[in-house]
Amino acid sequence: MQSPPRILWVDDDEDILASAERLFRGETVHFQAATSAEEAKDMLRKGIYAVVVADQRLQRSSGVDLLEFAKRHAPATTRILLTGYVDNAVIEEAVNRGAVFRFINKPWDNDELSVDITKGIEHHRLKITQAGLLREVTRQNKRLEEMTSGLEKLVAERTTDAEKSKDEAERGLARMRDLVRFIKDLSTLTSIDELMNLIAKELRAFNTLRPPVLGYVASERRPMIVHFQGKQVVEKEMRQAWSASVRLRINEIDDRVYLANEFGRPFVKVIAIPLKRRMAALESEPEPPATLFFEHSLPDSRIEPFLAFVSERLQPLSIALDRILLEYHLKYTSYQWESTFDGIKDPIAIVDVDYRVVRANRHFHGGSFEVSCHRIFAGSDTVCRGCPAAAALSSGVPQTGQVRRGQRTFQAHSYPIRMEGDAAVTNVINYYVDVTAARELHGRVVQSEKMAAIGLLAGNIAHELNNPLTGIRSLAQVLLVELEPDSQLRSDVLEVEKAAARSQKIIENLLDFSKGGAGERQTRVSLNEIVSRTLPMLKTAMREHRSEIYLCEERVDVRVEPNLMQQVVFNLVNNACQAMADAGTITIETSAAGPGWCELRVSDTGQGIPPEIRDSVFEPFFTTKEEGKGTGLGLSMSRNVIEKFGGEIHIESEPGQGATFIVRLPRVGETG
Amino acid sequence: MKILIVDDEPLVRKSLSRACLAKGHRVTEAADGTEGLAAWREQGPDLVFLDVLMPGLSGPRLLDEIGEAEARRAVVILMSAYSGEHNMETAQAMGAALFIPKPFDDIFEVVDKAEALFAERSARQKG
Repeated sequence: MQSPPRILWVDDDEDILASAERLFRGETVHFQAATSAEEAKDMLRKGIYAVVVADQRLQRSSGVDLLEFAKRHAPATTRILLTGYVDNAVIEEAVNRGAVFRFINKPWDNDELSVDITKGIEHHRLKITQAGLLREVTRQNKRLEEMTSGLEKLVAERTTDAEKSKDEAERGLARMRDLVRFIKDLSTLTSIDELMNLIAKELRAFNTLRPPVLGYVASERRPMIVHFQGKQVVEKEMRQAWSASVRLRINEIDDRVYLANEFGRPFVKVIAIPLKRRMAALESEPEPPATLFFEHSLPDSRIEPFLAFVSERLQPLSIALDRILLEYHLKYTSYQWESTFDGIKDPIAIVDVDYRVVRANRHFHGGSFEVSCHRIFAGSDTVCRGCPAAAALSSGVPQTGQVRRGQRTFQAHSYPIRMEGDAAVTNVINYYVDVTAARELHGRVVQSEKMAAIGLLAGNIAHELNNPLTGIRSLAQVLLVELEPDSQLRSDVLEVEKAAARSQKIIENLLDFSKGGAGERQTRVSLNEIVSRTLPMLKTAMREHRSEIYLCEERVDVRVEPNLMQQVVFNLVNNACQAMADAGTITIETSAAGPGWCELRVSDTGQGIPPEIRDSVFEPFFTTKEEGKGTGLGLSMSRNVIEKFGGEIHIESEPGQGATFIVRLPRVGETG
Repeated sequence: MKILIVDDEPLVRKSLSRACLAKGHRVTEAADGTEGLAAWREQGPDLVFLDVLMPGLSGPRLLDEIGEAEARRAVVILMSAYSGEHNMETAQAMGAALFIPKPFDDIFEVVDKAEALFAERSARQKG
């Protein structure tokens, strides 16, 4: 078992350290903190860290400086910079100095941070592996050297008799040794910076030679020029590329003009040496070859030896450059893929047969790989209900299902990955699309269509009833006039007239109510009136229960769309009735509630609402009723309506003690 | 005055007719548009209570049939339970003097209004 990877976090803010430390508690990493750059440097010298995270603003030092120190003394450690805000200058500097793997903005997002840290650890592991490979190459080079020195001995023996040729042979051997050493040095390079330094060092003997300038074509065909600025190697993207010629060019005007234009200073003599890139030649479109430019003031007699010296080294140099650029390219393309996937707002994960996450994008949450996808995605120890991955694995064709995360619904697509033609499928890509909003919208459409249909039906019935009702009431009124004042019948007819008037009022309300809210204007209306106009429609629902209605004496007005508000009252009272399995008491109360507000409280004496679902009851499609009894939209619609009127709705409930829904609305014109 | 009541709802006819009779008017009832058209032509009423929606001939169609000249000779009061479809404006465009939505709050109020309109009309014609 390997020891857990170590993370060094450098920040002079103890609170930040504490919260970072909390983040890694229980994770399989070893967290260590340093409060100053000095302390961190000391730790980096003594221990091996997978990742170092440094705050940009450290006392007496900067994060970039510290990370640069880390780059020199612990090159394999992944370097992450924490910046308080997006500071372009800092980022640019850090990039130029090649010191940073990732940037994290403060305050950070825990999920994103742990993704970055996980990737950092992974990066470190790769580096270590790479370093192992390098060691192997070095060992082989050493053998080569040993062989050379064996050769040297052999030659020494054979040439004892010819001093002159011995000198020559020794020179030849020295040259060969130099060459072998150069090749060995080349093979350990990992960056263009190092390559440039090596070239400069190698050519130091030619003292009228200026440091090299290298042109190469980076990813996406960007022409780049690398050159020295003092001791620093700097790189810049060019507006245009250099000569496409593959010839060796000595002091040609084109190269001088090109460099002079790009650098803004005259170049007198330039030797341009194209480096043949084998990998680049494989690409379809020709690119200008990587080219080494040397500004020089070599006398003509020295040019020949210089070219001889360089040409011996040209091929290994080209191979080294090829290798470095290829690595750059691979890193770049993998980064491109990574950022593409991370840019996708839907969660995506590659999952194996045991539901372990192999790779995942940022929106899949969590950075700890090799944990089950359902744990990361839904926080569950069992496979998500409806997950199509198993079916995709066994059938080998894409499958779709619906899974839930908390209150949200996702359409999950599982695409099997086949590594080879007919090999068994061992991995699937799980792609999750949040369809909560779409479903909610669909539900609303259904609900509003339903309401519209009911409204139409109610409207028709109401109108149809209006005709006979007109007759009944009118005839009763005529009879009341015609009958003798003391007639026994008179009081009966009076009852008929009153009943007809009441029916008329109910129908009028029903018509108003069923008109629906679309396009209705908000008007000022008394809260009590809304309640009293709605109650007649709830008689059936309330029939089995005792009802207590307390309307406040003071007039409280609200600004609402009366029909919608009536629907809310209807929903709340109807829900309260349904919440009571046995006969109970339903209490409806209106009151002025503090300055500028009024309240409507609807209470039942049912089972109450358990705290764990108290927030969920307002979610669309949440319902505890049997299939077909509720749409699960009533309360969510009520909340939307109340919020539209600038109010709020919440619940007070004790298990077993019933529940109270409290609607608070802004009160208008308190003086009225 | 001579009043014609055209409505397919018997109770509406009956109550209107009783209220009008009580005020001393002569009343004819018609149970639908066709019947109403015949009675109108036959009697030349001073005032017509006309329902909008009736089987066969609707109130507005009846007005069409009777012709504008004849329609203007009487005070026409259009009544409807489907208030959305018609209002005072559309009723007046058809040549009616008043639109009354059903149900009525007070039938005597309706008769009072009818009498007032008729008196107004007579005064204008004389003047």
